[in-house]
Amino acid sequence: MAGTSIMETLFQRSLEDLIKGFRQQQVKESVFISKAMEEIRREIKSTDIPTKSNALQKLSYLSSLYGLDMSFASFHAIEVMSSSQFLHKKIGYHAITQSFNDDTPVMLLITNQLRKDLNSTNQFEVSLALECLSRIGNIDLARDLTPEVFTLLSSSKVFIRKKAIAVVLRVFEKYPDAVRVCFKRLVENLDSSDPVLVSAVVGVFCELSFKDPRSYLPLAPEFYKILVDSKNNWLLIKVLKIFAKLAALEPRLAKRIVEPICDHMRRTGAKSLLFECIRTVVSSLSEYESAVKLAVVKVREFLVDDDPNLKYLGLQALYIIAPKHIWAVLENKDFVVKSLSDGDFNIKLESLRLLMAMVSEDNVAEITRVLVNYAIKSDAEFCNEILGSVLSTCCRNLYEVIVDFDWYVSLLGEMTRIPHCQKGEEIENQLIDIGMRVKDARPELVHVCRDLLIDPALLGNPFLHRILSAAAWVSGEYVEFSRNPFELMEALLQPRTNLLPSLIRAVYVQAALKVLIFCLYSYLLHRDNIASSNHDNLTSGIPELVSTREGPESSDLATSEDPSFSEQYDSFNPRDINQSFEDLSVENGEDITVSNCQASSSSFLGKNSFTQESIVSLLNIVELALGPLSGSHDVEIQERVRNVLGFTDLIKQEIVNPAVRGKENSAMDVTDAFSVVKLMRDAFSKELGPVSASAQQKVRIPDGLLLKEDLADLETICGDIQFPLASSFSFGGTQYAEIVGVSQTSLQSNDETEPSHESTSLLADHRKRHGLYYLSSEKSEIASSDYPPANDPISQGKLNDDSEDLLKLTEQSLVQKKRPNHAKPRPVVLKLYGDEIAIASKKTEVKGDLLSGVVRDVLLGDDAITAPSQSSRSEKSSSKRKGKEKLTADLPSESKENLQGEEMPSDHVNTSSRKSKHPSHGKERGQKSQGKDGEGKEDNGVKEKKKSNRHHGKHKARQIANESLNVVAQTPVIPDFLL
Amino acid sequence: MIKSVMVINTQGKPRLAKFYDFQPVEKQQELIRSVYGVLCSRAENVSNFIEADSFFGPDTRLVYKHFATLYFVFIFDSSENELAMLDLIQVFVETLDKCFKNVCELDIVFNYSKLHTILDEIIFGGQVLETSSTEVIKAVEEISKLESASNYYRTCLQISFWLAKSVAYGSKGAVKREMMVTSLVSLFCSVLVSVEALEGWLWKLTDKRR
Repeated sequence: MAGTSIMETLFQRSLEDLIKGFRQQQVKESVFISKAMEEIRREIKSTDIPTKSNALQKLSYLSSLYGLDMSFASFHAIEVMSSSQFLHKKIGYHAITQSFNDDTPVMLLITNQLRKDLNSTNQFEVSLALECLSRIGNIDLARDLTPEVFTLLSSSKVFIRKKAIAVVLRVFEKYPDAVRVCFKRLVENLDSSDPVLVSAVVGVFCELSFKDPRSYLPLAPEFYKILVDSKNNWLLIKVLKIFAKLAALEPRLAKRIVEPICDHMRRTGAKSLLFECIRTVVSSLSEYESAVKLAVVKVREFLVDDDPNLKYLGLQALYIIAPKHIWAVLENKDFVVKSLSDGDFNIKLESLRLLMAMVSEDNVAEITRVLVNYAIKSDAEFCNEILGSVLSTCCRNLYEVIVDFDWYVSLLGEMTRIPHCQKGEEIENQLIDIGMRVKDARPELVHVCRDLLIDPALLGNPFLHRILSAAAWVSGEYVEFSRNPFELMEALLQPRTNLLPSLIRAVYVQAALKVLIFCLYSYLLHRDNIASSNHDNLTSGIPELVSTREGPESSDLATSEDPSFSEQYDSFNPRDINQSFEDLSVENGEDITVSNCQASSSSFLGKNSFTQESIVSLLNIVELALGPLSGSHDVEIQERVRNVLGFTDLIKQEIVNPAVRGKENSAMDVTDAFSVVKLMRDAFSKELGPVSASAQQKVRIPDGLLLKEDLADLETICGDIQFPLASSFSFGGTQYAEIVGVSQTSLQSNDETEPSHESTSLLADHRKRHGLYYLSSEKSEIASSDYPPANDPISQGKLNDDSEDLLKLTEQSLVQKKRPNHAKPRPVVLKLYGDEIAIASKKTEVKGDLLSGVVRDVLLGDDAITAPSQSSRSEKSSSKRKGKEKLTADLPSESKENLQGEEMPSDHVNTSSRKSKHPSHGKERGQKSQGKDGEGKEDNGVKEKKKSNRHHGKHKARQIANESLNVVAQTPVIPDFLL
Repeated sequence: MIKSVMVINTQGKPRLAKFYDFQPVEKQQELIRSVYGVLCSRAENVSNFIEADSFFGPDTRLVYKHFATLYFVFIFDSSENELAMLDLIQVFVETLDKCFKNVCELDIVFNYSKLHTILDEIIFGGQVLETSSTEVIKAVEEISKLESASNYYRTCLQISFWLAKSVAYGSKGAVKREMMVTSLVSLFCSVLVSVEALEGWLWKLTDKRR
């Protein structure tokens, strides 16, 4: 038995052999690993501890670097750990530290071994146990081992004491009650002469104060002493971190530490300390002008340094300061702009963030223009970073910085065309959001969306599909602003839409229906009107026009008005159409129609006009394009397509037939169709408004609806279903929105028509190239993805926007100039009650966790007792702990809670007079308190004796004496170094 | 608080991975891979910081340093100073250099446990406890002395025990031929080892006297 185990030990593969085996690579790695694991599983069961530990060591190696599970070996690890041999113990501890967590079932078994090792005489064994506790300690371990840790906190060996101090962090975190036991000793270590220990304690407090800074305010004097006296950079950095937290809570403390921090900034040669000082100043002391100025000077040194790390950190510091002191950024703006073209991605990103922080209403147009141009030239990742930050900056607080929405909407369109653009979702949301919120932007929005829809190349880029869906929705919803609905329809039905995912295609179909209904409605309304007006013989100028053009199958009465119509919508003035419709419908629009009619050129032959022929061809297109889709596998598409087709069938009869039958019937049939179309039109014309995120709360929950029911089962059933169109908007009636203003007065200038021609020609071009009119959807599959990239950046040539340019630009725009009078007033952006809530709902959460409660207890908790004891001069205040409390008891924040009201005014008097008297620290303090010692003894002589047998007794006792004296006698003689 | 320390070579093979918050092994591997993915895409002469929020959760930063074939990576939260962490990497590497005399990747590959011992002396449960490499080396040397001492005693004991056994068997005449061969080989080994052990023991004695 023993013989075989020894054989195993002697011929077992060690960790080194294992590593060598890996390196020789005779077999595949996975094979090698599984073989090694087999071996380990066998060896680890051995009764021989050396064999076992060797196997465990190999296992922890494999687990750590090759990701193998080692939970099966937890019990073996405990066995190895309890070996008396240091070598094995170490291996066991290493394995446990690495693999145990709160769920490990055998965790309970290690408590005794840990206790034994913590009490060991071998400092390295103690160290192993401490390391283990600090990594895997749970509540049970922390509770059971608190006494041991307490003992070790005053160990004579620095090697152990520093680790015991560090382990306290874990113990406190897991078992807050340990604070009552260990806190005092922990604080005592702050006064240690060994810098290693002090730095360990400060490290622990730094971690603790991140969770709950307020509890550690009373320790500020100790930290202040370190800040002023210490020469150790590590220590100073940690102390600064603590102060950065504390200063935010206590303004008077901030005032005290400004000078020492500035001193460090001026003196230190260490960049890390310098940066920490800068960060502390810019984040927590930004009210102190001189300190901030000094910090900015130092930041500048960082920025001009060759080291990219310093540059990066300098930019970060600027970013922290930007919200409060934008001048600091403006001062360094040349550098910021230059870093935009730095080789380092981090630096570019930081400078982008800074640039966006500079954006205001006045310069948003210029900055974004330059950035977008820059984005075209940069690589995909950075391009998207730029676009993302531009988008998020512009939509901040309901488009706060945007004045000219027409510009912004066209910018969105332009962004879509940037080749690397992957910000589909954001642009989609913003397009819809602007459509719903900003009435005045709708014409331009529809125009931009039309340009997007009509460009066949965009369909090939899957990142843009969501944008296209938004564009389709917008152009369907606001089709009355469209300049050419026929063109829109063609765009919506173009064959390449088969590249779209089905849900987006369904949006397209729905939009097509809306456009169709709009066209029919306009046509019928008009025809109806003209018919009646002609019957009444009110129009005089028409007969001349009638003669100029003939439709082969149309009644002359109906076509007579076509030129006017075609003129109307080809004049790119959709609101006029709208206007005239409204007028017509109230039966007094004849004059307008007539004038329009007269203004129209009689020779105009628009192929897309609202003639009967065009309407019929429109219907044909719809049928042709959607016909094949009625068999689609996607229900969403199928249903909508069926609806549209059914509708076209119905209308077609009504529109085509009467023309054949003759004019006496036509009027009646048309009104028939008209009523159907009108119905549909009414259904679509109800305005959709934005709904606030909190609107759901206003809806009463119906009885019997269980909202809290566990839907976990549902998850498993439809876990694979995704909802790609889950945008953040929901559509509802306008009742939720308060509509503030409606104006449709602004006229569009003619030069805006140019781009639309451009893209129409693009469409024509595309048609020519593929030699097909949009007839069959089958053919489009052949006409696949050989389109030019979505946006051949043709215009790039003229965009010579180097960073120099940006520099110049920011030069102009960043100076705090008066806001120019904008040509247009800012349009109204609909706001919802809930929006403001959402914006304002950044509440700071107040965490009242267990640990801080106990810490506060220990530091201040029994002030309730001390306060009366001060007045009665009882000897209750004899404990050191209380002394410490009193030392800082006159912090206002604490005094509010803990001191009696009558003492407060005097306290404030004291502090104000102390401020001038005691600008500094340490030694002075010692002397003064010595000076006062006598008095203290007079009062508290008995207490003094009691205390002097304590560890650090003397020093503290003096403070106590002084402090109580101070409070009682109300004489401002005791130096308080905090305030 | 330091969250993790990694040493990864330029091919993406981890050489050391330590996580101060418990992470399941699969997650560890994933993190190592994603960190390497970011590291290998970075050019030379750029800053040494990476925002690590996407893999380690909010408020985490990553500092790395590239030495020859290895990346040294420290991941930490906002209670540490970035430049100080960079210095700490330097301290760690300097300590390794002193321990192994001109450290190279091979030293790190073959001295897995020593690497951990060194790191544990510098960083304790996520907190930086020692920044002086001489102190670290002092502790590490004592620990390895302790380790080897227990190793030697154990081997000595074992061998004498084994020898006694085999002699006992041999006297009964039940020793097989192959057993003889192995015993000879191991006898040779044991002599070697015990000489070494004796040396170590003597050394320890003199050390104690000192």
